[in-house]
Amino acid sequence: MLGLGLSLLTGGSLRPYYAVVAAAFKDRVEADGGTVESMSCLKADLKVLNPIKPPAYTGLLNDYSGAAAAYSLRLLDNTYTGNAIKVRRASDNAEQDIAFSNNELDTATLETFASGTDAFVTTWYDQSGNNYNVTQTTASNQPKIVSSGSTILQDGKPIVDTSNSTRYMELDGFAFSSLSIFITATYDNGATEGSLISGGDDVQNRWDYGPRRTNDYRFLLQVVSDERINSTNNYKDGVRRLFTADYSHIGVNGSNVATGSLSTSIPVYTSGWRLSGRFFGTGFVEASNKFQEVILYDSDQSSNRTGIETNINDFYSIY
Amino acid sequence: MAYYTSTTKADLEAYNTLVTTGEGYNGTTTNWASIIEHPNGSDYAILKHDSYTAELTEEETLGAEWFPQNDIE
Repeated sequence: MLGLGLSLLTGGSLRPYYAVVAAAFKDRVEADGGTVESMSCLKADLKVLNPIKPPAYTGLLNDYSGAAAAYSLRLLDNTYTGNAIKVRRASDNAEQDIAFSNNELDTATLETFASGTDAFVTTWYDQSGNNYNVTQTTASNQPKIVSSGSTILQDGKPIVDTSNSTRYMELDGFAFSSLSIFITATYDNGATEGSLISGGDDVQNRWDYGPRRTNDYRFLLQVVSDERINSTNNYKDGVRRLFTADYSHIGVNGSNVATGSLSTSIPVYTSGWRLSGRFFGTGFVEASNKFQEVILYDSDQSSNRTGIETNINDFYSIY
Repeated sequence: MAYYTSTTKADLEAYNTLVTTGEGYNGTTTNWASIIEHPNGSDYAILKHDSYTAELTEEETLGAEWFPQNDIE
């Protein structure tokens, strides 16, 4: 391209530049044991020298589609063009959307915005396409994500932190006939119970899922009587874990810890969904969690569970 | 975290309005704090903002009696 009209003096004779390049290329190919069928094919052969584009990013939801709601601090779907979160900074209460950079939360923009102060998550955007964003409109209840100008990290990756406070986020909720939950979080072993996610409005109309303060790990559906799946396994320590659950099992870090079945049909309580904590009567039971990813399917994902867990663990290196 | 307590819920709602107005929240954020109701149904509390004071009873923390106990056994 440079030099169809350019000539080089080689070996005492003028040769077109492309011919010099082609000959040198032919020599290198043959030196490596390859062949160049003809110089006229060289153009096609040279195409292999073009820079090879990296494979397109593939998110978890590209491989395992159909999520009803999906929140993460990494990009889960390569067709998602929205933001990751909206934050409020403490210095002046200004709010700003934070997007992804290289498929992960744009922490550089986040920290620039925080400008040396704290920042809190007001909205965690749903990447499923269903617009089930989780929000917190009350300032003192908003989870923290930046502390004194630095993004809060767990094992090198940012977290939505509800630790040791009344911080939680709310979701309008959606109807479901089956529910599969995948949560990447650290349960901070504080003096509170550990509901990671809950729904319903009071003690008789709710479901919740998470470690317990005392001696049980639970995924519970409570209607009039106790229809529940729970376990005597205790996962209340502060180690980051991948929690999975559907209506037939509870799993932690890729292994089942409890199985069960419901004695009655699954209740559909679409009100009062929360990330972190749960209602109790008129009150609220706090929880102390550090979230990195929450994916909800309104379908049975038992057949995909291992693949989804592997995808999550490949990124977060949990276990 | 300090709290203001009162038996008059409206007093705490007024404090919430005071802080909310003073802070000038906009966007997604609409208010300072939620009012906590004691299980006895007659006492209330709200988280105190460091920059705003009120003629209310201040508690350094809320006792366990303010919070519901585990109901799942």
